[in-house]
Amino acid sequence: MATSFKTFDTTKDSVVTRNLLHEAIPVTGTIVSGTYADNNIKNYSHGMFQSVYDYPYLSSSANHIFDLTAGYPAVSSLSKSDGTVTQQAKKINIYNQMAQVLAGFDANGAIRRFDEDGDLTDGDKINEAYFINLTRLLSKDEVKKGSFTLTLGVSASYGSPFAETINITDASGSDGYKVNSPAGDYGILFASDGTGEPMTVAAGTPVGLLYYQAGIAVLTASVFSGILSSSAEMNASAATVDAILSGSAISGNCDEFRHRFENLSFNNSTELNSTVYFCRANNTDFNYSSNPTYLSSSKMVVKNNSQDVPVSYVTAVGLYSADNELLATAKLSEPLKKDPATEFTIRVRLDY
Amino acid sequence: MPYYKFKKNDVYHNVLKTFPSVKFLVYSGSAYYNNVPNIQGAFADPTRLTDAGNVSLYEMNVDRVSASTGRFIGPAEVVSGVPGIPDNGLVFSFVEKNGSRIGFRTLASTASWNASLYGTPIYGNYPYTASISKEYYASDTPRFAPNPTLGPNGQRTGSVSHIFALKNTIDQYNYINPQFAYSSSVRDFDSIDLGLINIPSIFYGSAIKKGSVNLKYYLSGTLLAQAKDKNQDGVLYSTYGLTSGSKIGLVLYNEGFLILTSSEQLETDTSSKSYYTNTSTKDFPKWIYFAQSLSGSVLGKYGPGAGPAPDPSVGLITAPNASFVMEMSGTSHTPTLTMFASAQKGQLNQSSNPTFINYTPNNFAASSSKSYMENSQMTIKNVVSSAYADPTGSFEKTTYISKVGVYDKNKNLIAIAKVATPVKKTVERDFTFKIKLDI
Repeated sequence: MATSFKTFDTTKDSVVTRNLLHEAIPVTGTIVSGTYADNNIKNYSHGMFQSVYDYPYLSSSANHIFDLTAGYPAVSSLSKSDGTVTQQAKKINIYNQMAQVLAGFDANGAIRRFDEDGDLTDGDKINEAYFINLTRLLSKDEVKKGSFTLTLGVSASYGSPFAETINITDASGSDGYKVNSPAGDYGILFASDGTGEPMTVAAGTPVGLLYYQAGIAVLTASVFSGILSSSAEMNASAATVDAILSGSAISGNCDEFRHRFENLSFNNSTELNSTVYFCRANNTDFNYSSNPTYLSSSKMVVKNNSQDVPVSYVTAVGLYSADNELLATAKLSEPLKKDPATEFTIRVRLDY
Repeated sequence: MPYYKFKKNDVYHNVLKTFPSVKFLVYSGSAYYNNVPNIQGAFADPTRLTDAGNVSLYEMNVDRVSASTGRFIGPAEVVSGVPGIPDNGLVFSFVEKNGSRIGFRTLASTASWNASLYGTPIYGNYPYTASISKEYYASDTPRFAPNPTLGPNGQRTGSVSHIFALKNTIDQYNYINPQFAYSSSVRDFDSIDLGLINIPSIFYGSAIKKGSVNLKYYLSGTLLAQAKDKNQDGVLYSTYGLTSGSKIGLVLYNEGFLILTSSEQLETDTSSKSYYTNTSTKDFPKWIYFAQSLSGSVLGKYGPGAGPAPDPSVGLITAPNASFVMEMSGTSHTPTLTMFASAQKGQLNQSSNPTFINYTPNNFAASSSKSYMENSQMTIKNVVSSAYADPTGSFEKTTYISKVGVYDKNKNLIAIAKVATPVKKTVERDFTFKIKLDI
């Protein structure tokens, strides 16, 4: 318990700082596409999305890593009114739900569709889309811009999907991100050849969007067809991606997407907000202690004779409110010897 | 929908005090926490990358192993000449060096920090683990190690042992029981054999519950001795075995330490002797050796320097025939908010649910450019039951309450409490719903 207090000069003795703590998150494709025989994949009775865990989800050790889903808008060429499309209403609802949260509404109140290059006034739209919703456990405050890489197997053969791959990155995200989304910043995802040369378009072709704070990647279904020299067979029946988007349930689409999921990696960021207090002990300050062990038989224990200068050992710094209520205590790793010949500035950082 | 304001006595803040049970089994150099075994995964063994006796703080890196992929996560070079973030299959944390001097404890040295460029990643590792530990102090084990070189200001430097660092803590409980004395006329912790077991607070919460400590010492699967803090004052008494009734140690409830002081042998049969400490002498089982196989004293089954080279699969453990069980309860405080929502007589008897009224084809509201008119002849559906299917019983205003919404002062819905089955509310009935929220 302190008996003397030193008041902070808030203009000089404290400063607010912000630091970023990152985590490297690799998601190996085998976890997503087969190591656990799909015991780490959870499908729901509503059938609107699929959850992927990093371990069989019945284990308490399992972490939910992302959700997968797919959809298209009512204006898509896949949208049919004859009732032949499986789960059409849900696919349209999924797309609209994602689009209104991530892309917002236009001046007429209509839901904006995802724009391939982020220029909402013009350009191609992403109609048929796969969505990867990263969990907050992985994305934390945001996905670190410029660190996202997704490798997809795009070989035409269903049986050997990774014979040819493409890499999808937000390589320009660190300095080329967009801010015209209600869900925060987003970057453009660009495709380039990985293994082999499966792409017919130039490297750097936009194929999706990555919403950094929301932790959601939107991928055009063209990554399995339009940008490739040979469309990928999305199931054992050699169906194209358009065929499974209309003919299979959302969970089936997610299964086939996982079948071609080779690798995902990104870095996340967490904001650490701190206040640093500079606690200044001048030469004449804190050279005496009210600790009961400081005195023995009315003599200072730490002094050998009465002519010695007063001396104390600083072991902790207490931060008090204006009403002298103890709010926080900072401990030193070892006591600091304090006497009139020494001065200290003890830097106390409070994270919150 | 009507709103009712909570009155002064309708909202309570309480703290729920719970005592979760904690059990450690120590055997063959490993601890097992709450009977959880080590589980082998498809890639990693154990799955959590830490022993079953350890708590993994975030449980990241489940069933992952470190293996270089040659890839980088993000750019291959973060600063000129500094390679990027490697993809080694594990989740790990990092910060980039900046002016705030933030970093991880794993940083090699201050010099390496100073030498690195701004923007250089500083790496941390997962998992973060905590586990119990055991230290054995022989009577001649130094309790502190003074440094012969004086500090720059002439101060004496050096290091102290953990038991010596607890001196003031032990002494401060002397008012509870005189046994809490580091040094007394009866006993001096500086000069006796003793065992110190450290239990991190993540296992027990605020404090170990008084009277809940139960130690069992097994030899070859047979209970040899048992000890409890039966008086709830922190003094451990033997309750079973040769030394039954004697004091065998102390518990520091708030700090999470067990200090075992009894050197009395727990078995007279010489075949029970085993290697417990880092000496070539076998000894009888004693309380000071409790959980000794955790201590890191690794011996061959024939003793140091004797017999064939130790076989790592069988011989590198202390007290191979002994197992130890340590049970206790922790203390956890959970703040709770309790709210009483009342449905008074004569209130909440109307619902805006469309099924509340009888369905007729004319139920729709007529609207035009100048008017909006609901059908004034809509009738409330009579749901009063009778012994007959038709007619129903005499009409009585009846609703079924299925949930209670809690709103803030701006009428934002902030919580919903649902009842297991809808509660029938009539004009004559009143209810009070007790809503409890852990915060």
